[in-house]
Amino acid sequence: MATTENKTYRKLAIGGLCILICHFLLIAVYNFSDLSEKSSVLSRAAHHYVQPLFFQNFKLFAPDPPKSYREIYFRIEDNNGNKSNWINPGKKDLEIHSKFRFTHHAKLRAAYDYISRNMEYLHEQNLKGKNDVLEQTINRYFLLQARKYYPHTSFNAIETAFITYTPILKDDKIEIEKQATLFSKKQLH
Amino acid sequence: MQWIDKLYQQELYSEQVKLFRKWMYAFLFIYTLILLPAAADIWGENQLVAFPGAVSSFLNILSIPFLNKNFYWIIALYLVALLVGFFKPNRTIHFIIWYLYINLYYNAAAVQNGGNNLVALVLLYLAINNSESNQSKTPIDILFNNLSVIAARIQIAMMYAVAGIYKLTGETWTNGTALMYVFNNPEYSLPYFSGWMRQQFWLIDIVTNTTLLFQLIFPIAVWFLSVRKYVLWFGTLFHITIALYMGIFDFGIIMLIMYYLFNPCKNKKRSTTASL
Repeated sequence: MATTENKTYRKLAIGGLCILICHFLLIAVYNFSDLSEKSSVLSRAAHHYVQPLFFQNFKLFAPDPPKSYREIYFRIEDNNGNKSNWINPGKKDLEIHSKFRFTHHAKLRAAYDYISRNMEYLHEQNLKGKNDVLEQTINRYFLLQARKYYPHTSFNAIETAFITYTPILKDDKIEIEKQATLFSKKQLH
Repeated sequence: MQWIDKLYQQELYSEQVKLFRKWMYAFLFIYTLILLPAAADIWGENQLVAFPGAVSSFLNILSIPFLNKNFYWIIALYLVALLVGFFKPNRTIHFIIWYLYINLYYNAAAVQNGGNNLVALVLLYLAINNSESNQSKTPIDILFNNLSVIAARIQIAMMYAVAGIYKLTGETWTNGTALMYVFNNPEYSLPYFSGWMRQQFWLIDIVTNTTLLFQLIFPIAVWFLSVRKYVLWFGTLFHITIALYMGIFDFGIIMLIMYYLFNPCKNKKRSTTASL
């Protein structure tokens, strides 16, 4: 027979389990809220509850992996109007990452991937000049890279571009479609 | 009711937690050392991708200019905390490790992946767990310890469920071509292998469907002891492939360590006097 003390602990255990169930119900609502087009009161409450302490993004190449692969480039213009060659700031990191998996170059490539993804997003959605935060993030990345590549050169503009490589299935063979896009020219003050 | 009584009478997962924490802290320590050459680019004043004000400074102390200038000290503190957590585990140090981890995580949110995200959550759930303590535990301690592991397990299963269900809403995962696009990306493939791999449509079809099936099955099958062993072995193979072939090594290793929490290893029975 359960003692009074045990009954108290049993109640606490049931209470703990109930909290756990409510917690994961809210997390489930948060995680699957993108499946519904309408934003309900419950999904808004779930967002408030989950972020930032229990923030999660586990879509992992879902609903589809990115169909194209991107390379990003920049070139600088010095005070006399001379332009440098186009530079791909992630090329070296990718070369090393392809040979050795367990290095810091993986994270540098993740930064590169983030910037290239957002350049393509701004371009495709026609949002250039309309999303200050993303554009500042992209400009900052290229400015820091330009300073790394040309530490002793003073320059007054950075031009950026990206190339997308999209695999296309043709007669049971993959052909890569390549498209270059001039992204922006940022004047420095 | 017997199962509910066990929650405060007997530590059900102490061995799993001990193993998990040892491996996770060791991994995080080595992983941070690996990232050190790029630390200034990831967390420093001139970090390549910055999100000022994305979360409050409580969870992003590196957004405070003084601390950002001295970010190496925060990393040093984190490394010391991991060492202490490895050799002298206790609740306080587990909370400190989680807190420093989440701050480093949020400060470099753009370069984090699902594995890093999962670590932030599981470290938080397990911060209240004091399984390693040799002192006698109260039923409340035991209840917290057991519930924290159940929470971590549900969170891991949730990760697979989200990944699997969202893939069902896409086009390429259901028609078996998703991995063709992934393998065409030099970021996620090995150069001396991908040329051959991406022309093997039958293999890509099988691997794509198997990946999808695994992510859908895992959240259910892992709760049944009779099949758990097979699910975990398959998952081990799956994540080793992700680490080596796709090059997302941190995610691969993190998931393997997460599996310790599902390991059906035997636990020493540790009952409380109050429970009998």
